[in-house]
Amino acid sequence: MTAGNSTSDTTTERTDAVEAVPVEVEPEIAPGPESHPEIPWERLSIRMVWVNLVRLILSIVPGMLATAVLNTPAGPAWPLLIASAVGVSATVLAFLRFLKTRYRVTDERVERKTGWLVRKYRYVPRDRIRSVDSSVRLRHRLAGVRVVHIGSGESRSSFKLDALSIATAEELRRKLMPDASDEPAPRPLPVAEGEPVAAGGPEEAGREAVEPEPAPQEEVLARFRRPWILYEMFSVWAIFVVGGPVFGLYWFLQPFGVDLLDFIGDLVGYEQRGFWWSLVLCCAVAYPFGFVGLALGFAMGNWNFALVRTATKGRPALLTRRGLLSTRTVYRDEARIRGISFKEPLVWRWLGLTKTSVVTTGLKQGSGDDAAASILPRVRMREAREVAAKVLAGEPSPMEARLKRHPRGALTRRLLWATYGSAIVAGVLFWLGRTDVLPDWTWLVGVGIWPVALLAAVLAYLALGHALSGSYLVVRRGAFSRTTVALQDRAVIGWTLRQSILQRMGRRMTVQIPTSAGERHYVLPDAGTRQSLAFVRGSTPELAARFIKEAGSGGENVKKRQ
Amino acid sequence: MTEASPSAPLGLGSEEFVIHPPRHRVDRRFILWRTLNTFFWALGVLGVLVTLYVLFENIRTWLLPITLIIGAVYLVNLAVMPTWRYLVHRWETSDEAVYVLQGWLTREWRIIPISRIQRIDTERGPLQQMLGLATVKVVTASSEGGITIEGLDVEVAEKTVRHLNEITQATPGDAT
Repeated sequence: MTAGNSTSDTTTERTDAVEAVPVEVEPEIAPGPESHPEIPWERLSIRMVWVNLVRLILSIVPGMLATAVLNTPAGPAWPLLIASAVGVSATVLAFLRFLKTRYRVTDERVERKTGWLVRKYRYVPRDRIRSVDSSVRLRHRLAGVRVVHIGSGESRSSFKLDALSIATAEELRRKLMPDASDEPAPRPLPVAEGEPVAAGGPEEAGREAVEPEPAPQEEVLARFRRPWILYEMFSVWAIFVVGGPVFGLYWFLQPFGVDLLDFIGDLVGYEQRGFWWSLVLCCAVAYPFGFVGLALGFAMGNWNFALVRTATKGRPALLTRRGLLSTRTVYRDEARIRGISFKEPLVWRWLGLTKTSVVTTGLKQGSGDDAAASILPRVRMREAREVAAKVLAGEPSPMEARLKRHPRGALTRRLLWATYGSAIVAGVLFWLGRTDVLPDWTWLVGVGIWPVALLAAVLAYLALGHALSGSYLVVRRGAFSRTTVALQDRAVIGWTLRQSILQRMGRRMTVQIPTSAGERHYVLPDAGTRQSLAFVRGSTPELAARFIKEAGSGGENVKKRQ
Repeated sequence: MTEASPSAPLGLGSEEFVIHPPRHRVDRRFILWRTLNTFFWALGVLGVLVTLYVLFENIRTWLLPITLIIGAVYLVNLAVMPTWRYLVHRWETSDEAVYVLQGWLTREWRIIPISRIQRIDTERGPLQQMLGLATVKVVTASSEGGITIEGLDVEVAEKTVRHLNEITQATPGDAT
């Protein structure tokens, strides 16, 4: 915990802030390791050698134990040996990576070359850099280094430098993101405006620090609040927080002749209670620990969370800082933001919680970039709406808009789907039962899922809604995971209207909204024909005029033109 | 519900607004192409199923109904679908947008403004080459927003692609 000494004073420095030369100024030089021979390549921080050395020793220890101390006639303790081997090879690879990795910053690009057998060369053009993040693991923190992630919004051309000294990392970040240079770097110390530290481990307790004044250009949109931990910790999956390590411990202890399962069995009195009561008892003990584990994990990851708008010249960006031991900052170019979306799985919806992300272009909607699109952890709907209004400043928030209901026919359609679906499942299972492929009773499954399917149909119908609010289109749908999306009309890149025979009879249609942002297309299912056409016309009047005419007059006009 | 008559209003709408259908029909050979296409697919799929039926005795009980159902679906497809589609399908390109109407049981109107087009291709499978047809593909930045116009006469398709390429280049826009 020694890092973070050099960060709060960076607000006053501004070294190479104007170096972001546009590419067009100079004749384009093809990217490659051989270009710009005059610019030297830099090494990663030399401290990584020491980090790796310590890691090596630490990973050799279990192997030594296994061969020297625990070498029973049945052979050495294999799990320990394997753990050791994995650790050693990972360390050796990390050391080789340190030896062979070079990076440099030219006027046009950031480049990295690496690789022992196969030389790899990667670059990100400087004008494409979207984010410069830093993350810290415990070993980096002890060595006073940082892992720097350079992101271009595309996972293919992004890379990380593992690791640079804090000063170098800071310098690099300011060089590459000059507009964000007023940003204090991620601060490793847990500070939250003098709030006492919540349910933390011993190393967090009693630490007091004062948050540096935010730079005047910075607008804080959201800040960590302790209730967030509560929203995040009560999860069904909490059991795995305990179950995983216990299982690991079981494997670890086996070579020492300790059977953890037996031990636990004795502890809960498996013999007298029987399987189910033992299970209940185990859960009753494990869940509280799981909840605490989740709470700690969330607090570590999101301590000091702050979502800010850095309104500096040139490129406004939304920026997230968070993390206690491992600090993480994410930049999002505000010019690319096209909207916002709320995602509410069923249980969260009942609790009034939602997850909030921005809809942006350029970010891939993958697992890794998910973090970049998501701007808030699970919070109350009211809070999320407030933040959304601040993010989409400039007009009344589209997330507050009253949504229009869809015609009753949409509900009928969904109920029919649920019924057909269950009937088909029941029918097929019944037939399979008759032909002795499956047991006779299985067709009852079809009957059993019918009420569930009907419920899902009702939920799906209730979730449907749409609205036009200022320059935004708002679309809501989803039975089990309800999603509300507000999309700017300039992000709409066409329209697809679909109508089945039954929809046609019921005067409804499904509108698909292709876009280059977010999930690449959003759907407005089963709105009334009139609603749909009004929606299309309202959001893109010019384009709509190409194919939607006023009844009566429109048709003739076009015929005359032909 | 048999074939819609060609003069049936392909546009539809509410009291105030109607969707106007695109201007052009696809080529008449589209019917033949779609029929042949479906026929070969049916031949392949049913061939495999029948072969399995003949070879393995113990799966016949459940394979027979599946084969019959798939056979019936293909039969309906062959008899009705190509003509029906021909009667529905329409397309049009202008200096502002590409616009199509497609489908048979389910209809689909798609429109893309020229400024959002990323790429335009023509495609010709072996059957299409035989019949002198081509498919025009318009690609955008969205995963779902592309347009495919099937069954155009080769010359019409080439002319359309040329025209689209010219105006796409002349139209400013970042295609996103």
